[in-house]
Amino acid sequence: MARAAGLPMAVAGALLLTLVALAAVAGPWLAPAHPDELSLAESLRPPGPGHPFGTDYFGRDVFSRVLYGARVSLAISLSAQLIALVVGVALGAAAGYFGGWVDGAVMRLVDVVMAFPDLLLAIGIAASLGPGVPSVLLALGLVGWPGLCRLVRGEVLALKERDFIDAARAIGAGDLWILRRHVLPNVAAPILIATTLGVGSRILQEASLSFLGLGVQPPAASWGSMVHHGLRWLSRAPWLVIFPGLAIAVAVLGSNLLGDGLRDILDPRLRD
Amino acid sequence: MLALALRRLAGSIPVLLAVSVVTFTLLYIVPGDPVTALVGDRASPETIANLRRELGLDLPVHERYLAWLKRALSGDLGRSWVTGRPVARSIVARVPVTARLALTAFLVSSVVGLGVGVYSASRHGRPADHVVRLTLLLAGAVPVFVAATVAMYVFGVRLRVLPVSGLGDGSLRHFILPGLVLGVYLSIFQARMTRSVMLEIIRQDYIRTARAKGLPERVVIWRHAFRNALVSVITLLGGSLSNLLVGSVLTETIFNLPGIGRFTVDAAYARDFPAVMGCFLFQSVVFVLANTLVDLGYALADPRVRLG
Amino acid sequence: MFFFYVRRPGQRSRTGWGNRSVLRLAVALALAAAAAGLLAVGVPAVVRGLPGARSPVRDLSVWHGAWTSEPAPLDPARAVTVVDGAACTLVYNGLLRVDEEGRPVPDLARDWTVSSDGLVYTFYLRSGVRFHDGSELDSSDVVFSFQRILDPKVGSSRGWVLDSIKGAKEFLRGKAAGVVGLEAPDPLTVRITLAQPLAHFPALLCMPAAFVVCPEAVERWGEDFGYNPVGTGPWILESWREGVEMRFTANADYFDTRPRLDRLVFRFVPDAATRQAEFEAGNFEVLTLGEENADYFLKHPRYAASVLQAPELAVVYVALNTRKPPFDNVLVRRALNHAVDRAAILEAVRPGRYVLADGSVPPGLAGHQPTWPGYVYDPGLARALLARAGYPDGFEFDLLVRTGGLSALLAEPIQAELTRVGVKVRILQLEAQAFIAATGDQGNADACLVSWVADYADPENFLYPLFHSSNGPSAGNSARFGDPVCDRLLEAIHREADPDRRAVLCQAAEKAIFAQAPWIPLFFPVELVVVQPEVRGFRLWPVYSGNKMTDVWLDRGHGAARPPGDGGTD
Repeated sequence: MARAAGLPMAVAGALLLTLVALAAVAGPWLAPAHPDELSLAESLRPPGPGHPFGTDYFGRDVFSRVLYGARVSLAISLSAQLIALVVGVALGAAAGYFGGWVDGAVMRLVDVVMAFPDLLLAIGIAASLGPGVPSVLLALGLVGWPGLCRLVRGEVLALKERDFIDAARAIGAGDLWILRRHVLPNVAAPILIATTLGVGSRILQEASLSFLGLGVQPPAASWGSMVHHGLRWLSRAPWLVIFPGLAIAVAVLGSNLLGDGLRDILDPRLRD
Repeated sequence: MLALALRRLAGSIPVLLAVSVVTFTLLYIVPGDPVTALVGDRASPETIANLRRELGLDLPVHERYLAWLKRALSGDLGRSWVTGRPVARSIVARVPVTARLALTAFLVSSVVGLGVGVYSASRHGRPADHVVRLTLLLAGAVPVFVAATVAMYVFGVRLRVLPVSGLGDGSLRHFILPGLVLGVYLSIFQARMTRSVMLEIIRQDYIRTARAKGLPERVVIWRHAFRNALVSVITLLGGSLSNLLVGSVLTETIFNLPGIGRFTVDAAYARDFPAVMGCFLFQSVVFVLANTLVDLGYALADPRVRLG
Repeated sequence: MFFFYVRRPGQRSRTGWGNRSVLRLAVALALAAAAAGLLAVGVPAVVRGLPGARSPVRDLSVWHGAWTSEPAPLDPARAVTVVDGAACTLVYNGLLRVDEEGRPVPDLARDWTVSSDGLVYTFYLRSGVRFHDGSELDSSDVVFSFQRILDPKVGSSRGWVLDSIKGAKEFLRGKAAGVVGLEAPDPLTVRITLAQPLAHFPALLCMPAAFVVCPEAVERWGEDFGYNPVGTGPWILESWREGVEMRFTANADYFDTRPRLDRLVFRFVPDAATRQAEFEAGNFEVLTLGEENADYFLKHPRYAASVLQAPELAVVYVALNTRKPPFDNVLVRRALNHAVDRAAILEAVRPGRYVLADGSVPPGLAGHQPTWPGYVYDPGLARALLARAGYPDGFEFDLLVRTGGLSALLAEPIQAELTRVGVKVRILQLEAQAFIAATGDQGNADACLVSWVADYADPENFLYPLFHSSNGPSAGNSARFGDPVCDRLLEAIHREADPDRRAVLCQAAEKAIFAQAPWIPLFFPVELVVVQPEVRGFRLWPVYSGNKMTDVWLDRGHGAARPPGDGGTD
């Protein structure tokens, strides 16, 4: 029954994410115009037959920009989440498995990173590296990993006490082998759930970075930067906010639904 | 218990030091010289050199850090380079604003998060479970600055039932909109955790017993299950509160609340060295204190989690 | 809230319930108590002493406005930004002030004379002028205030405003005990001797740096003087809530026209969308409009008649780094000027709210020349020039812009235009400090999109600091332009006292400079503001230091009857 409880959510989430991925992949074929093509004479047209999502202040086709924006937003959120995943899982597993000073060092590092207001870190990185995609990735990855690290450490700590790990050790298995063959597969489910949920958070965080002017640089546009720029025109051209905003909502909702659904399906404690 | 707390706090001293070193280093390496903005255009090189000397910017970097550390340890955070105000006084002036925002958001998220969590757990797998969770997820899928702007226009400008922005007389009215906006995002996490905890408890024997005794479902859920879930849920919430207390930059900016979050960002943008260092110190202390409490809670909740 | 980071603790198995639950409850309660304690400390402090929310019936004796940032302490020695200057203007007076056309007119000085060699200025003070603390102003206060700006111990960055006074540079460098050119021969006379003639010296005296402060208050408050300012101005600082707002009350003893309102309240609101929402809710009397909301208010039934506009003394331009390839080549710079269809861009971005710029001196100042043809839009010519300069296939460069607002709006169409002639532009949006660093003396930016706003209403302000070879980017010369012929012309402007001959000199200098195309000049902005319908007597000043807020008032009931443009300078 509980398995069934998660299934519709997971399927719905997966469908929404597929839609987003489709837009990202097929964008160039679907887009009626080049996303950066200026046409000053067609500035701020409301949605209509020629421009299903209207045009922005430079007469650019918003529909095309939303399609292309899918690539930017997805690429950024997925890569940032990947950075967080690799760093978080590696350090978290090491901390939990080896314990002792390794654990102490890693957890202090986690504390230091988490004690920083995330945004300040982002400003610092953007100011040092200059604004742009690399800064965004680094900033989002850097604030993303401690959560995963704590999660993985907790799981590994609990797992370590279990008999089969001791059994593996007793037959002389090496640490890395145990980590790879016994520990990580057993913590894969929570990692998968957290990662899926994390993608949605990254998309929202990228939007927040854009609000502070630290996001991707023009003429490229992520959904977040489109919404942010459009927000100033809200009273005159609400479509500049509505459509990229909807795109964000679809992606974030998709990631949250899939994550929550997976949790219902995979988490043994939520199963009957 | 006390020993654990002391050990945890002692262990946090290196964290605080590390935070201050990292902050200092970041401030040192990021481009942007506070002096150029302070003096405006057309200042003479002598003026700039004098100011740099006055602010101690001509000293080697390690001496600057040690000088700051020495003063900070004696309780003096210095004066802001931009406003000339004592940093400690500015922080004290802004903490109440952030605290009130945090409190409002926390109340909103607790009511919504716990409510949705308990309710959807009690309707596990049924349509109602999906509907309430989906509604909450939908609300949380909108970027916070969009939600804030829309809320401001709807309730402040069009309906005129709540203040548009600002602190006004400091009454609760001014914190309702920002608190609501902020609280919704937090409540998603809280609902998720509450639901998991509840589902786990509902499966335990004493709940089955209670149900078998024929008690009304409402009583089973709220009197028996929720009461037992509450302890671990509160411990979970502690963590979110520490995040709220370091300030919520976007919400504070859009709703024009002069809290600690916006103060920190303004200081960072201005490269206002004493103010940035002071803010970070304050925020990491808040973080460490809150987390020590939370970790103690975890340790008690699960004896198998050892504290490093 | 940003990066809403929620700790996701390990999902733990919940065994071990039961016997430890009392302890656990204790911890939970401790957590809750700690949280409540933290909040309890803060809450009363907020509630205490805050003014009441605005009542539904407006108090028509109080003006509510917004500043985009919190000003620096109200001290002429520290006033650097426009907001700093605007705040100081309310509290202090200078010897002179600017009138509605930006010309220097008497303020604390009732009259002044200039010697025939242009070196000696004699100012005759009004008698009976009192500071806010009741003490009477005399010429020694003026000497004190000016000397304070130049005092190396005070460390004001505005020394340049007064450093043309004889002996000022020596004093600034700590090589003299006083400023020989500053004298107070009697209590109501100030005599200022310059080291060299400087025709726009009276214009400089209108700047906030030349405002007169009360010496006793400076002594008494020391470092905190700016938070306890004592001047002679029409408004007295009543309260200053950090990060929130400033309140001023009318100075009943003001020597000039007494303010018509009783009180001013300025809130600090950095976010543009928030300012607009507050204005629409009726909480601010005036709102400065931008590209995104100008049309909205111009077509708004309630506000259309309350939109005022006036040309700003400012210029927006792309500075090309004339010391760095490929922009060290004048052909490349000219090519870029021909490649951008500025009229089309501006007509799309801010229709009707710009004057196309072909030089740097804005209309309204002597020396502005509408006849200079500038560079016509001709992409073919641009390509030919690029080929001649050795770049037939174009090149790539970084265009630095400030984050947000107008700069970003202009940068993208410029980027698109230049792409058409084969020049690739990388736009880098930088926050304020990073931008200043990258475009400043130490940075070596290819090009940047910037604006220059007048400190004083004189064409010299748009020529000498921007183009003289002795000035670097931090002084205004973002293009790092330098040319011996132009230098000599710019220096001649300083010496020329005759207004007509001076205007001719300015035109000649501007023409010589722009023949070398150090900029892609874009436009002179036309400022647009919207006021609430009950606002009366509000006008837009060419220089911020002109607006003393004495003539504005609020009129209930006549909101709709207000004629368009009432009170505007257009």
